[in-house]
Amino acid sequence: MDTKKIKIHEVLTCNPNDDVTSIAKKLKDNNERRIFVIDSEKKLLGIITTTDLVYKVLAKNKENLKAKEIMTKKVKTIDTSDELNKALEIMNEIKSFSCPLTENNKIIGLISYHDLVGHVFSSLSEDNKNEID
Amino acid sequence: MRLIDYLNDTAENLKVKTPAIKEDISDYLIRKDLKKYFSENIPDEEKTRLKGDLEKRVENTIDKYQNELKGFARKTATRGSMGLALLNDLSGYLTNVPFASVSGFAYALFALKTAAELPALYRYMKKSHDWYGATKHIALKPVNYLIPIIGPALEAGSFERMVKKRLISEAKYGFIKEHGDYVSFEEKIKEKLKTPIKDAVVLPDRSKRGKYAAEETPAIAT
Repeated sequence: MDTKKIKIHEVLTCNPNDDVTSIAKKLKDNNERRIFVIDSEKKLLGIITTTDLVYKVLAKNKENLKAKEIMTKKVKTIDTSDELNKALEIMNEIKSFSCPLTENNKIIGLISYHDLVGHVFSSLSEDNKNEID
Repeated sequence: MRLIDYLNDTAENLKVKTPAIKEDISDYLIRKDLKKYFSENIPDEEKTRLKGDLEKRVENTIDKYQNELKGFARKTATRGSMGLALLNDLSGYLTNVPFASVSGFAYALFALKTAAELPALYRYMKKSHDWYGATKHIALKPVNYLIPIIGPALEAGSFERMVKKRLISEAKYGFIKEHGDYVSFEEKIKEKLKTPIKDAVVLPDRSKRGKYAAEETPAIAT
């Protein structure tokens, strides 16, 4: 059995000047709950969740807002050069079962708690098997 | 090491080499050679699991050498001959008969003992290939032959001691081979979590990063 690698879940992205209606449509069409706001160089600027749309747009009846006006700017991310435990720390900190993965500040995708734990245990099983062999 | 510690240690070693009881051998290994696997910082559950494995291993090894440890005919012949040899030496010593006068009978008893254990020694060698132990056992015979009184006493259980030593060694190294240098489960996980993410993930092609990404709606810098 090979060690199970962590799957990177692809993410939805938008531009900072996209309007909230198109963002909501994009989320609905792709059955997603979060969208990452990136600039022309694909560098991560922020994140918009369905909660943001409800609280910052629908509740205030402001449908003409842009992505950059409702996005959460300080997105906790891990870089590909970081260690796995940093991903766990961030998931614990933001109380989420997934964590955005970046490389040189460019969003790559999401890694999930489930996949991370699966990878660690698969790797331990592999080590154990090798020790017995 | 103080003398009392040395004597306690020796007594403990002798105790374990005397009875072929699973618990005694397991306890000996837990206290001595495998103590790092059972130290205070190892969780009780893990210790129980490791102890269970060790006992099973010892039991299997005892089963393997059962015939060599318990052979009734051989034991009767070897213990009987050495008992007689000891009594012969003792009587010679007490009656002031020159040692040379009684040693012939003692040598005959030693020869009888050696002959009685030859089939068991052959079976033992076939199973264990323990050339070191067997050579040591045979090499010590002439020495024991030459020491009156103490020689027969030492020689009496020497074959069983050799087998038990081998048994302990097989159980011990089998256990170490399976469990390796003990690292707690927690430590193993911590070590795994130090893996750089890039080594643990399958990175998508650069062109495919961002499923619904900016290709659809060209990104505009803020």
